[in-house]
Amino acid sequence: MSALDSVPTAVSRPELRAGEMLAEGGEGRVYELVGRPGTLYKAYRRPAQLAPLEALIAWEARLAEAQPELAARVRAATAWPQAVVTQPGAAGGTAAGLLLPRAPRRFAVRHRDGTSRLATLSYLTADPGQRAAAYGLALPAPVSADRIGIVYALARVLEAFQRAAPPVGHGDLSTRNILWSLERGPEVFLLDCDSCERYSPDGEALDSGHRRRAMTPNWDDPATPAGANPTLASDRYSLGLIFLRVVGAAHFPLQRRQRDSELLSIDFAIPPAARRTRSLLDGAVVWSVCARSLSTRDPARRPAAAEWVSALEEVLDGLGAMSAARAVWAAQGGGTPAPSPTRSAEQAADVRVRPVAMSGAGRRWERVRPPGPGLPALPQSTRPAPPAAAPTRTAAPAPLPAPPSIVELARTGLGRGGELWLGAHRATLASLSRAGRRRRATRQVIGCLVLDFALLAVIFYMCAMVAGVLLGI
Amino acid sequence: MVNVEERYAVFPFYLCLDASASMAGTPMESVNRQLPLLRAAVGEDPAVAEVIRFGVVTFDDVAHTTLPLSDLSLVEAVPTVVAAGRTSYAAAFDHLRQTIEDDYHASRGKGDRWYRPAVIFVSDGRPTDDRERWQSAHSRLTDTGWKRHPNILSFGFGDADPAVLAHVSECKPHRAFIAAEGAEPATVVPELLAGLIQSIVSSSASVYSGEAQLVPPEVPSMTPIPVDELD
Repeated sequence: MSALDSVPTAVSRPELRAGEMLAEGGEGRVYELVGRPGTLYKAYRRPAQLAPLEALIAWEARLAEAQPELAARVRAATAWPQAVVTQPGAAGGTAAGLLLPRAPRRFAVRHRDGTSRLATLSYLTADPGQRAAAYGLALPAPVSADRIGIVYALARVLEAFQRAAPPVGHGDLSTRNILWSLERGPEVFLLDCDSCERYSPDGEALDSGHRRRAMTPNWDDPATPAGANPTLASDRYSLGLIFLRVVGAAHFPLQRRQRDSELLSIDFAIPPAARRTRSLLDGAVVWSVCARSLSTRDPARRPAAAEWVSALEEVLDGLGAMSAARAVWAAQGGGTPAPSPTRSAEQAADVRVRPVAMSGAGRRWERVRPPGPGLPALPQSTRPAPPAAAPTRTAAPAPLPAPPSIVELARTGLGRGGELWLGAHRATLASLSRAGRRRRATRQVIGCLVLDFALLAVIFYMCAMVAGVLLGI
Repeated sequence: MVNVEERYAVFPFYLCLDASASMAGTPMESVNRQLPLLRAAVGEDPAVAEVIRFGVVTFDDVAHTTLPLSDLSLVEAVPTVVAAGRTSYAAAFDHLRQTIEDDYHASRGKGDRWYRPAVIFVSDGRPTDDRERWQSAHSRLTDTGWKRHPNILSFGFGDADPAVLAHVSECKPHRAFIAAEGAEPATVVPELLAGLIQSIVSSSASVYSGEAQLVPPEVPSMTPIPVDELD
C-alpha cells in the first residue's frame, strides 16, 4: 500500500497533553506538547475542514515517494502538517487542529537583553546598522553571500513546491512565516504551511472555495484583487519581493504603487565590494528574473522558483561564495549545482530593476538613553502661555527654540574652558612620564606655563577690579 | 523610482500624561510599571517598531517631554515619571503643538514620512488653568489650518470631567473615554496601557496595508463619552 492510499495520520485530541502556549494568532493557538519536544499542537479557533488538511499531509507523503530529493527540502525547511487532530464528538469532517514540527532552535535570534525570539524576516529587511543598535544583533551586510544564501534556500523550497505534482502554493510568504538561520550556513524554515493550497497543472486551486486565505499586508501580491485568495503565481511575486528586501536590506514598499498601476523603476544599491561582480552588473540575469517576478501584467508568466535557483547560484558563484550554496544543500535536503541560467527573451513591461552604486555611508543609528529616575527628562518644557496673551494668540508658536540665556552660555563656556585646561595639563603630565618624548614634553610644559600665567593674570585683574570697587579705589 | 532609501511612513504616537499631584501614588506607580512593558512589547518586535514612533509628554504646572519621539527599538529605558503640581491642560496642549512641529521637521530631515500623529491624552483631573486659557491652547493644537494637527484620544478617571475630555477629543465619537465612577486607578491604568499597546500594534499592522488607521485602545473599565455631554 502506498502512502497515498493510507489514511493520513489522525490523532484524537484527548490523546494529547498540551503544554505551554507559544503563539496566538487569528487562526488559533500553538502549544508545546508534553513529552513530544519536536512537535507542536496548533489548535484552531473554529473547527477546520478535514479533507484539505488530509490532502496536504498526503501530498508530502506522495512527494516523498515520487521525488524524495524534493520532499527532503520540504521536510527540512517547513513546518509541514504531520497529522490532523480530531475532537471526539465534533461534527464529521472537521479538524480541531494539527500536529506540526517545531522550528529548530537555531531559527531564533537573541536580543541584547538575552531574550530569544523567532528569527523572522523583519530582522533582515532594514539597515543592519539599525538592527545592531536596536537589538545588539550582528547581521550580514546588504548584498552579502549570507543574505543571498537565505533567499536561495527559500527559492529551493519553493522550487520543490512548484515542481511537485500537484504543485502547491504557500500563499502568505510574509515576514512572520519565514524564519531564517545562519548557524549552519543559510537556511529557511516556513511556517503556516497548513494554509498551503494544491493546484491543478493549469493553476486552478484544488481545494478552493472552502476557506479564505489572506496574505499579510505589505507582503501581498498586488495582482490579486482585494478579498481574493492568492494564486499559484503569488509565491513567485513573493520571492522577487523577498529578494529585494532581504538582499537589499531595505523596505521596498511596492504594492501600493503597483495597485495604482504605476510603472516601477527600482534602483538596487550594490556596495563597493560587489560592484565588479559580473553576475550583479546591469543586464545580469538576476535583475530580469527579479523584474519579471514582480510584474503584475501577466502573473502566470512570472519566473518559476527554479529560475531563481540558477540565477542566485550564478550570483553566489560570482561572489566566490558557492560555499553558501553548498551549505544550503547540506542543511536542507541535499543538492547539486543547477544548470546555468538562461536569459529569457521576455522583459517585464511594468517593472525595471537595475543595480546602482551604493551611495554614502548610510544613516547613523543611535540608542536613546533617557536620564535617571526622578529628573525632569529633558530641558524641553512648556509653561502655559501668560493669561493675557493666551486668549488672543491663535498664530503658530515660534518654530525656533528659544535662544539659550546668557547664564547658560557662560556656564557651558566655563565648563568647556575647564575641560580644555584639564586636558592640556593631563596631556603634559602624560608626556613627561613617558621616555623618549622630551622635546614634545618641553614644548607642552612651556605651553601650559604660558596658559597658566595668562589665566592667573586675568583672574588677578578681575579680582583687582572687584577689590577696587569694594575698597572705593 | 524606488530605492533602498525609501521607507514606510511612520505613525507617531504621543502619550500625553497628567503628572499632577493627584496622580501620585498608585496611578503613577502603575504608569511607571507599565511603560517599560509598552517599550518592550513595541520595541522588541521589529515589524511593529519599524513603523511606530512613540513619545511621552507629561504635564503638571508645566509640560515636559519625558521621552522624545523615538523608534522604541532604540530606546534603552523609559524614564520614570514623578507626579507633582497642578493640572495645566494649556501647558500640555502648547507643548504638544510645539513638540509635534519640531519632531515633524526633524523626522523629515532624516527622510521619514509621517501619518497624522495620534495623541493619547490621559488625565485624572480637571484643568486647573482657566477655561479660556486651556481652550485657546487646545484650539491651537487642533487648528485644521495647521497641517500636523493630531487626532486626540482622551481617557479620564478619578476627577476627570467627561465634558472636558469630550472637548479635548474635539467632540468626535469614540475618541473620549471615561472610567466608571469609583473605578480604582490600580485597575484602570494598567488596562489603559495594555490597551495602548494593543492599539499601537493594531495600528502598525494597518500602516503596512498602506491605509493607516488609528485603532483606539480597548479599555474594559472605560466607556465612550457620549458626544452630547458637552455643555
